[in-house]
Amino acid sequence: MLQIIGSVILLLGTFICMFGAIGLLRLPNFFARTHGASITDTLGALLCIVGMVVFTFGMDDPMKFNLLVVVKLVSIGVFLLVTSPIAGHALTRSAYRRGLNGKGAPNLEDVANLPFGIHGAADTRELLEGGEEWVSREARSEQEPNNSDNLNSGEQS
Amino acid sequence: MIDPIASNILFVSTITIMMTMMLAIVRAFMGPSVYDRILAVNMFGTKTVILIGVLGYLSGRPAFLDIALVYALMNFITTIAVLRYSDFDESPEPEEGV
Repeated sequence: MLQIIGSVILLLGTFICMFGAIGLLRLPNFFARTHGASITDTLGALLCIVGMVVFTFGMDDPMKFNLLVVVKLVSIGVFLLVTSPIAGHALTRSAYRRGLNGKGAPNLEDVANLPFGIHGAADTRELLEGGEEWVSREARSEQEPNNSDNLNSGEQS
Repeated sequence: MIDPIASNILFVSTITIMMTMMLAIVRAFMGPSVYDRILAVNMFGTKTVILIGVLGYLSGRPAFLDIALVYALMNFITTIAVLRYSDFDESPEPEEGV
């Protein structure tokens, strides 16, 4: 009976993973797709791990083997729960700082005028690691108009 | 011994995880920017961990979980390493996201 309960929880987790994957495929821009991928990494993976733990207690091996397997499962779950949000945050922060823009990307000035801001990162005078000042993509192209003109003419000719 | 009903449900969840991985691979191939590809590959790695675990239970040998643990470690290291590369190297400019 515990085996059936555990596999049903596991099935629920895999379905949540599939909903997240559909979101990853269909959402309109990068910062929205991050949401879909994060769901699968936290809720979906956690439900799968919990289902496997319940399933393990339903198996009729000796108890000490089951406990060993449960310890492995819990360590996988804790590791996924710690690292996936870190990786997602690093990815989104990297994209934001490199000035990934396009339809639906957050506008730097709008974010700076929010009442609480996004942990202060939207301040365009923020310094990157190494002391370099953050310059948005538009400002960069305004500062060096000659380079982009040369590139465009080179591509055309 | 694995209950036959539970075995069938495990089989269905294996198929579902494989479909999830296929969707992630599609996004990794058509992603307009570099970051979309990294996101999809990261998700693919997480689903690999889950798939190895479920396959271990399906074949009645949960000792496969060691391999899943190693995959989870490697996945995190890969993502962070690629992100360091794209942070400190100037060449891969993000394309215009759609």
